[in-house]
Amino acid sequence: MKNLMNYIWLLNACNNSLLEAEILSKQALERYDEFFKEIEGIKGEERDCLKKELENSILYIDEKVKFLQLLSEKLKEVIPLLKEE
Amino acid sequence: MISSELKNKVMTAKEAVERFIKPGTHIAFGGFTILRRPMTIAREIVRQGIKDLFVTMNGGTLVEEMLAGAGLIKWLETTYLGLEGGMPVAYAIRQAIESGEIELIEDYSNWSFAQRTLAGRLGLPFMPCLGDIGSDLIEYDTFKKAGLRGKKENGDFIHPGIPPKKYEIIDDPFEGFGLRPRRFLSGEDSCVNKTNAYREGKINSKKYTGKEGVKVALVPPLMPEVCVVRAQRVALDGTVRIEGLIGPDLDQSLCGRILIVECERICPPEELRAVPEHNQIAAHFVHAIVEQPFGAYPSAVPNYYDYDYSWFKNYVKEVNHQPKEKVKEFWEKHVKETRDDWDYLYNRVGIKKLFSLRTDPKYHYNPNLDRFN
Repeated sequence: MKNLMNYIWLLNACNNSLLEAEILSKQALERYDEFFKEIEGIKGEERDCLKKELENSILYIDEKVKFLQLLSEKLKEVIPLLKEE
Repeated sequence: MISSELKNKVMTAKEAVERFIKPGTHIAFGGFTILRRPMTIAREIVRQGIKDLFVTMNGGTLVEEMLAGAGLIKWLETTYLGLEGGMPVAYAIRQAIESGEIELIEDYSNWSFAQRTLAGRLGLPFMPCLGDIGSDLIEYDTFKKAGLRGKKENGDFIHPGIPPKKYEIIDDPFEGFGLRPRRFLSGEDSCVNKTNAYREGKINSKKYTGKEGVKVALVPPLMPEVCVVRAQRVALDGTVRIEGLIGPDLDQSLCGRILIVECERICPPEELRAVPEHNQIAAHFVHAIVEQPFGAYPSAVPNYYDYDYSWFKNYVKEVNHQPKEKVKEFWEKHVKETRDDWDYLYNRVGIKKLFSLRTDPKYHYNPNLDRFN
C-alpha cells in the first residue's frame, strides 16, 4: 500500500479537480436551449467568432474527455484483479 | 525532467527532524485545531525524544498535547489549549503545566498571534491590533516574570526568540480615523473589523498611556527557528499547494528561518504550475519536503481525509484524569514505539480505518462521519 499511495492521491487530485468542470458543464447544458435560440440572430463577423469559439471548446472538451475515458477504462481493468481472496 | 538539485529537499521525517530540530529549538506548528496538523514531524520528534522544546502555534492542540504528554515541551506560546469538545482543556498540557514540566506558558489571542506572524513574515518591527486591549492578556506576562524579556548588558536580547515586550500600547497616531463604524455609521461597509466603541462612547480612554485618546496594541514579530506546515501537495522543487481553509498558516510558515513542509503527495512541478495562482508558498522558501500520506491523522486534510472522531473519543477515555505515567505510557505505546509513520499508520491505526475517513469530492470532507458537535 505504501508504494500505491502516491498514485491513489494522484487519482484523488484528478477527481477533485473535476468537480468544477462537472458544475460548469451541467450549467452549460441547462442553458443550452436558451443559447441555441439566440444563434439564429447571429450574422457576419459575429457568426465567424462564435463558430471559432465553439470549435475551440469542442476541441478542448474532447481532448479532456479522451484522457478521462482512457483512464477510466484502464482503471476498470484493475477491478477484477482486486476480487476478495 | 527533474534535476537532482530539485530533489535535494525531499527527505524522510527522520532526516528532517535530525537535521533541523534540536533540544531547545523554537518551533512553530501549523494547521488549526483538528485541521491539517503536521503530525508526521511531531510524531518523529516523539520517536527521537527531543526535549526542552519552545513550541508556538496559533490554534493547537493535537501536536502540542502529544509533545506535552511525551514530556518534550519546556516553553509554550499559544492561543488555545483544547481538543475541541472532546477535551476542552488539553489534559496532558494542563498536567505538564501543573507539575512544572512546562516551565512557562505565554498566551495571545488568535488575532494578535496572527498579527505577530504577519509582522514576522514581512520583516516588520510590529503590527497593530485592537482585540486584546482591555483583556488580562495585556498584563499576563510569564516570560517577563521569568526574566526572559529585554536586553543583556552587551545589547543582545536576553533570548533571541523572545521580544523585549509582550505588547506596547500606544495612542492611535491617527486619532481613531480608521476605526469602523466611524465614517459609515449605518454599519454598511465592507470592513469586517468593526467596533461599537463609537456608539457606546468608549472611543477615548486614559488607560495604558495616561493620555486621553484611542488606543492601539502593537505586537512584536514571531520569529521561530523552525516552522512546520502540512500541505496536500508539494512539487519536487518545493512549491506548496494548500487546499481548504488556510487560516494563519501562510504567515506562520514564512515568519521563521527553516520551513519543513510535510505533504500527502509530492508531485511534478508542472502539475502545480498549471494553476499557479492556487499555490501559496514559493519553492525557494522550503527547506525540507516530507511525503507521508495520511500523515496528519487523526486531524483532517480537506479533499483527502476527515478527522477521526473515534480517536479523540478513545484518547479522552484512556487519558483524561489519569496519572502522568499513564499519559506518557499512551504516547509511548502509540507513537514512540513505532519505527516510523508508516508503521504507526499501518499497524497502530490500520488501513481500513484510514480509508473510512476519505472525503467526498463533492463536499471536500466526509459527510457520513461522527464529529464534534
